[in-house]
Amino acid sequence: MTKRLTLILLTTLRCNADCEYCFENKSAHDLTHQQVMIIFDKLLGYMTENDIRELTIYWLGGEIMLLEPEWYLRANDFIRTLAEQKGITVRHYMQSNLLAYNSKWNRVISEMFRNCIGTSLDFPNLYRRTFGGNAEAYDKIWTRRFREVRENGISVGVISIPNRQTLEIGAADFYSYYVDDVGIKSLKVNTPFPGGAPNPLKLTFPLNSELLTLFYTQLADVWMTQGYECGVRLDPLQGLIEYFLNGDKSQLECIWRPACGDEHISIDPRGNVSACDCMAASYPEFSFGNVFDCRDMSEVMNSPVRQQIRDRPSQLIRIEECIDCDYLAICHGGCFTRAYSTFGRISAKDPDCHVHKAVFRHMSNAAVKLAGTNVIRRSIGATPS
Amino acid sequence: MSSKGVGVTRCYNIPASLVNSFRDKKVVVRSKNAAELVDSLAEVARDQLIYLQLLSLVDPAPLSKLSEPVQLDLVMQGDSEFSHLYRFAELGKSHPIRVTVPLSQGCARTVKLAISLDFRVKLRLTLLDDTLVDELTGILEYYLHHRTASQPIEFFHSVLMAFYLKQVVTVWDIQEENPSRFRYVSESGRIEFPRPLLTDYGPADGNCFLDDYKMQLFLEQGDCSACLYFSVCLGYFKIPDKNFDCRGVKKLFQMIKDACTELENSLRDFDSQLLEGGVNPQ
Repeated sequence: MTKRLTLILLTTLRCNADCEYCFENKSAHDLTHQQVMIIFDKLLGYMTENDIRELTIYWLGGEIMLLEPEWYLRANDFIRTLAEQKGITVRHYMQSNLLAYNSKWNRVISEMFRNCIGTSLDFPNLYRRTFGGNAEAYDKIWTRRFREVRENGISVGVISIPNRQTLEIGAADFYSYYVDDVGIKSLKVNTPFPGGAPNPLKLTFPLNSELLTLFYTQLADVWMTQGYECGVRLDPLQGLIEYFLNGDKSQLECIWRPACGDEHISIDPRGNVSACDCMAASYPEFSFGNVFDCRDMSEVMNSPVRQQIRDRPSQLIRIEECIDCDYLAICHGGCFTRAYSTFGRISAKDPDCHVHKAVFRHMSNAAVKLAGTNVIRRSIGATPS
Repeated sequence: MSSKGVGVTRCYNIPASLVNSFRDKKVVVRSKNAAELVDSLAEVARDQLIYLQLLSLVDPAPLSKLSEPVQLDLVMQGDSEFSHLYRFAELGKSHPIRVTVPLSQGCARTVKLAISLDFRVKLRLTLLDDTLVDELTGILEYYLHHRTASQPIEFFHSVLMAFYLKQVVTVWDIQEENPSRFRYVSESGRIEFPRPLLTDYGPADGNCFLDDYKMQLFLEQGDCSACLYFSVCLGYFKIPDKNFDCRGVKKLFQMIKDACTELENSLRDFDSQLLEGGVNPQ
């Protein structure tokens, strides 16, 4: 029962893509090594004081590959040395659009990220664009880089954001595109939300809940039939099936945690500390403080803004109907960032509440069916392929 | 904080201010002040500590200073503070937490939230009426059949396990109110029984109370003498009102018994399917 903290570290707010639904306000800010030292000196000091022994770092941008690979290796040297001194275990994950990938990245991906990388691709791609280019250009470059990455033996996980055309195309073709055509074995499907500066596209978010529900539940059926037992990971559905089968909550999405405000922080290159990357880059009103200006990290971590976010679930069960929900144990009101970007306040439940509830119910039933199938298989001595 | 009580040694529920006076005893240390509980640990041998009991949910922050996992019991004072449980969500990852919920109309939502946060629950029982029996029935339904209810709710859980494992357990022990095994120490240091006992029964020291009380209930030939669940209940619900109508409580025990039978049948079917090796997949 080791205490853990997750840091979403934005190394740059520059980006080589211009995605229409992006929630970050871009700027020319990059993190320097001196700033990395300040951040981790304070953060690991705070963790030691509070007996937090595990740190997970998600390295994000902007686009993280706009800094040089050597920059990350040097940053990692400092973090590793300091963490070892303090007895803290650190795990790293990276999220990149791959557009700037070349073989120079292989060493850092291998040494820091255990040869895994997370990236983004939509189907159909309507809104992910190269800077000054278009969606076709994004797909073309992404596909080339993806092949190179795979040829270099790097595992790739993909985040996909469905759009209205995705819902029209349907779950079966969507699944087939990623798994059969592109060869993805780890896919995460997030719902879009209107975070950051408004634009006409974001006004159409959240997507129609009935269509989105139909899409997710059909996607679950396709995945359970074709992928679940064949090594294809599909989140958030995988986390839900693990919960309903085994009671394991560890794989549930961050938006469904009771204490995401306790577990996560994000720091942007200007030093702003927030609860997540969307808040850090686009909603300064939700900053806990600045890591470069504060005396120590506890000053930031004890911020009233952080307390407000931590108090949100307890507020929701008083003002929303969450306490009566069958799935309170795995939702707790959902994402505060999505609520804020949609309703202008965090004291509202997740805007995709109806979708989530339907998906929870669907996966709960799928787990019962799967458990029954497993019993039958065991009884006839058959094992999944 | 075993479901069946805390072993044969007597356990004392003491205020944190008196830890020095009970150094050689098994203790539950209680306080309204989380910082005081943390400080008291310096004076208590770990093998003597059963758990820490926090009587106010206002400020859990000092508990984050606990360096080793310690069992915590959060005692709710009323349903109005149920949402405060969220303040302990993070703490629950490093310390096993139980929430003691006083039975009252509407307390099911407190139970549900506690279970949703992966905390165990003990219901603090009181004199029952029809409304409270309905509340208990709803909570039992939730415990037995809801897919996201994955933590024990006492006294239901220990009774279910005892039925299933064919073991002996009493509600008195589950509720930590067996007068031969538990004592409550007041702020002034006065040692008391964990709940007021009927003065008609048992000697003052409480050691033989349950045996004497049991005998009396049999001799009176009242409800208890013919009750299927007497060995589990031992007249627990007849205190403080000897004339309490137990029909609602018996239904609760019957529901638990039925669930146990259902569980046994399911497992038996499963085993026979495995042995036969031939079933028709649907």
